[in-house]
Amino acid sequence: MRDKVLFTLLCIALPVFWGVIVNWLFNMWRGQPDTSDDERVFPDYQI
Amino acid sequence: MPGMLDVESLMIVVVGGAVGFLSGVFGFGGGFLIVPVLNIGLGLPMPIAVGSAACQVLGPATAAVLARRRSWHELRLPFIVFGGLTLGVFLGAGVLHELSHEESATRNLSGPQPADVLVLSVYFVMLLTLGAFALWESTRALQQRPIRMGWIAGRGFPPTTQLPGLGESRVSVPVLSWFGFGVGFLSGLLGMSGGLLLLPGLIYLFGMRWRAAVTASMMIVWLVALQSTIAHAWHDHIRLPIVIGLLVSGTFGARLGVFVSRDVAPARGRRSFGWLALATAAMISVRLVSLLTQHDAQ
Repeated sequence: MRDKVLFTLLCIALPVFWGVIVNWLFNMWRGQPDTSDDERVFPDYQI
Repeated sequence: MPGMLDVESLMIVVVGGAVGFLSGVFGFGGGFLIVPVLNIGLGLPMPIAVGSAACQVLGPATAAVLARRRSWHELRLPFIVFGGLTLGVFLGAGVLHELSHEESATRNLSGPQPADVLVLSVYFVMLLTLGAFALWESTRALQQRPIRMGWIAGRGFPPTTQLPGLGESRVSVPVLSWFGFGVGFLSGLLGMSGGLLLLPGLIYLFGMRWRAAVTASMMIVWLVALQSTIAHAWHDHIRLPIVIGLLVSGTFGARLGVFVSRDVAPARGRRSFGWLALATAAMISVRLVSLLTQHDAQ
């Protein structure tokens, strides 16, 4: 049971962490903290 | 065997990169390719393909949610559909789990696996419908004859609510909840984010404006991805090396796809998406025929 809970938490944490890093890198690259909805946002992929 | 594992890892990276590229080109919806390609192309068991695909969606969905500004008002729709989504996702994942259990129980009997047949059949019908719709809609748009939107706006049972991007029209809360349930069920069963159904649903069924629909669906997709990940992790359908491979290669593939498609007009992009969906449906139909005829031959 404990292994199952830990595995579930890891499955959540890993992609969320990746998403946060990708967003941070993208903002660094573009040199601005956030985006408007008028433009296409790079991370909208594989969704 | 280590050699086999290396080949499989390489193929997963190739699949993730290719799907990411296509997603970058079309903007949305590349997730629908992952499960059929992992199952048909790489031969992964259906529950593993579905669970791993559902888990990897959480990465891009998190990035997409963080990348957009939103107000509390825009969270009304995600809150309304939350109940239906939750029920649908856990039911869909549960159905897949039960079918894969049935597979284990009948492993000695040759024949098509129920989970494979069900998931591929639903993908086939959905992609055929969405692909044909995208081609029809984009043809009308290119001919300057856009189709009417908001087919079920103002219909249904009370209570009703107003949402951002809908102007003065009101939408039935029960209808929205059922819509959320349907999207959640298919997402839990198929391992997709639901964005493929959410965007056309919000725009054409409810008449929501594009920008509001995108903002709402990003938040809903994140909720679906979180719930699907919990459900599939609980049923042990997720393989983290596959998830990592898809996340890393998908990110680079998508960046390249966005760069290549900068000058593609939206209607032409939807047309290409329509052909891609139909091509994927054709690939799935070949696999389905093969599965069913193998069974008949035996």
